[in-house]
Amino acid sequence: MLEQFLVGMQLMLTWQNILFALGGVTIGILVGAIPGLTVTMAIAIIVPITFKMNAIPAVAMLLGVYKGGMYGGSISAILVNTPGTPAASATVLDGYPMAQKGQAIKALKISKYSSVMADTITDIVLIFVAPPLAAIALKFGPPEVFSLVVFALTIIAAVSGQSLLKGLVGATLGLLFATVGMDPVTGLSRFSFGYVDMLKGIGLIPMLIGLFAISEILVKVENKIADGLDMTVFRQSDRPEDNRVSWVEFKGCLKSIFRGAALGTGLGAIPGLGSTITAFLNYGMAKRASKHPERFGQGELEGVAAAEAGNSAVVGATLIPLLSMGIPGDIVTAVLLGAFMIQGIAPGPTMFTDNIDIIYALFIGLMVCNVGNFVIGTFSIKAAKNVLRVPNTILYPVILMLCFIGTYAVDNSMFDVQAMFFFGVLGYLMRKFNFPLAPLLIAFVLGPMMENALRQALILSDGSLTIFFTRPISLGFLLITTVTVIIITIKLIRHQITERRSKT
Amino acid sequence: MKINMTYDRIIGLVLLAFSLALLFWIIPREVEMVEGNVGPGMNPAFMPQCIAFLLGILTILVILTRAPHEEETVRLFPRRTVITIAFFVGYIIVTSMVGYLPASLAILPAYLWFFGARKWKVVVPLSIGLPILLYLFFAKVMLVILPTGVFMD
Repeated sequence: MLEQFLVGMQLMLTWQNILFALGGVTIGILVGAIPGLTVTMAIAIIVPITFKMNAIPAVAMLLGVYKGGMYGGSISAILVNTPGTPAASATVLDGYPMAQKGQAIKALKISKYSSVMADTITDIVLIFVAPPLAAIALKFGPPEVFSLVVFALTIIAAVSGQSLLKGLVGATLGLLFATVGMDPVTGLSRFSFGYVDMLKGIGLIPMLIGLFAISEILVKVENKIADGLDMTVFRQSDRPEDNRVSWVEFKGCLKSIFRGAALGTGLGAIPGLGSTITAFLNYGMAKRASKHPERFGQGELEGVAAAEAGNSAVVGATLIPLLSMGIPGDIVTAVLLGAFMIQGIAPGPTMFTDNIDIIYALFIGLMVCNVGNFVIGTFSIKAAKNVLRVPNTILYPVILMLCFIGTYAVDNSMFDVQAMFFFGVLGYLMRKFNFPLAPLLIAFVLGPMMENALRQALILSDGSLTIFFTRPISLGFLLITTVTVIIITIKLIRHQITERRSKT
Repeated sequence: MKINMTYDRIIGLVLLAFSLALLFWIIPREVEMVEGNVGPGMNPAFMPQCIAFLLGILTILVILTRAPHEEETVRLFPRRTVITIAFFVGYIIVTSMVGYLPASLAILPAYLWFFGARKWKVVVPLSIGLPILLYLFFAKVMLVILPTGVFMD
């Protein structure tokens, strides 16, 4: 392992790679700080730029955007009561009240310390857990892979929105879109409708940008956009204790930070359970464990620390299923999976045998990004105040321009731009009718893996479905999936019965 | 356009119709088949058929689990959204005709005006500077072959 670390350091620690990683962190922090822009959007727009780069700087930049975005969301959460990313929603609860009391700088500082510390802990866990997990995953055959993907998609569908059924419908549509193009086994055409462009299939980037960026703008423009954000100017206090975090105060938050790291590691490794859930869970647990729970929600330092530790800790953990099994844990890692594959790297257990040097370079890159978050975070506060002044009336047209050119640049294809537009309208309709978007995207990414595994398993078993039930690991995943669906369905039926009773 | 009924039922019915069309019409027409009798593993239509079947089951459940007396109103495609969509379609068409840079120089100021930007000191330099900057970055640095339009081809 030490030797591999040294090789990884040699590959990653060049000034160009460090510059790209820090550049990614900067972009991530700025984008994360702007309400309405998401980390996913930033990564989607950056991905085409990384095509011309080598694998390691490309991945370093994308990881930098991811990590920077997770911290950046807290800046607008604290300064303007609007989370820059969904994961920063819990930070608003105590971060904004602290800003109103003149303690904005203190809140931003504890947010930075908690984010970086929890993120670093989970990165270290990733380094030790991923290789043995990959070794276990190498024992997976086609039936196990199929059952694992079914399990992952079900969990993602269940947690992504209010309705499991709608999440599963979204996932099914994602699987359908993944079949467009050439059949992976026979090479025959599927759903090309006579167009040559359709034979190459639907691209991940057009779908991603359309579903998340274009649809967001289509929803937002329904109401006239105010020129400029409705910013509440925060008071900056002159008292030194309001502008720094003392060692005693930091020690008081350590329990919440470590708890956030543990939660993030455990939950982040399960596909679908993202940073928002972990942030709120950690916040809730910190409040329950606190000697003064009544202070939470009024500007409590530990509240900010708990929320930020929870949301940032997930970043390293979501890479565990991605690197060890090739299963993305959330939307961002789904895009990272696509970016890896474009670079010719196939995340999964074979990555630990075929590309082990890139794995360890990636681990070093994660650490570089953590340092970047800490250093750049310090300067980001001043910059964020200016960026937040960019009015939405300017921002949205600029984003539309970037989406157009970014999507076109993927494959020099106007077809991709047209596909992006189609998914933009589809994403708009899905948002209006409360269908979650994440299951569709993740199912689209996992669809080819799932289909290959299914068909290989059926070839092995001469068409018999019993192969999925006679192999223990496969059966285990299917049983867990069934039990999860039953539990969620029972809860839903109970909730509907309670609702009807309260109305009558 | 406002939909003033239990919209889950409407969406469910639309998707159910789509899944039936997929199973009985679209897949047989648009998926090339292997000659002879092959098992599901070698059949290109197997996965799409499974998906269509699953979609049908799920949409029936969506229809059935919605309480019939509940109503919601969904506002779809208001004027501003339709105009945004029209802008984007126009951008695609104009780019195909005259090329990326001229189209962007024309469309961006129109976008900005529609979105409500009125500060000319910002709008004018942005309308000229951003398309040129993007063109230079993608065409000259990233070496992307940008559309030149039918008149230049």
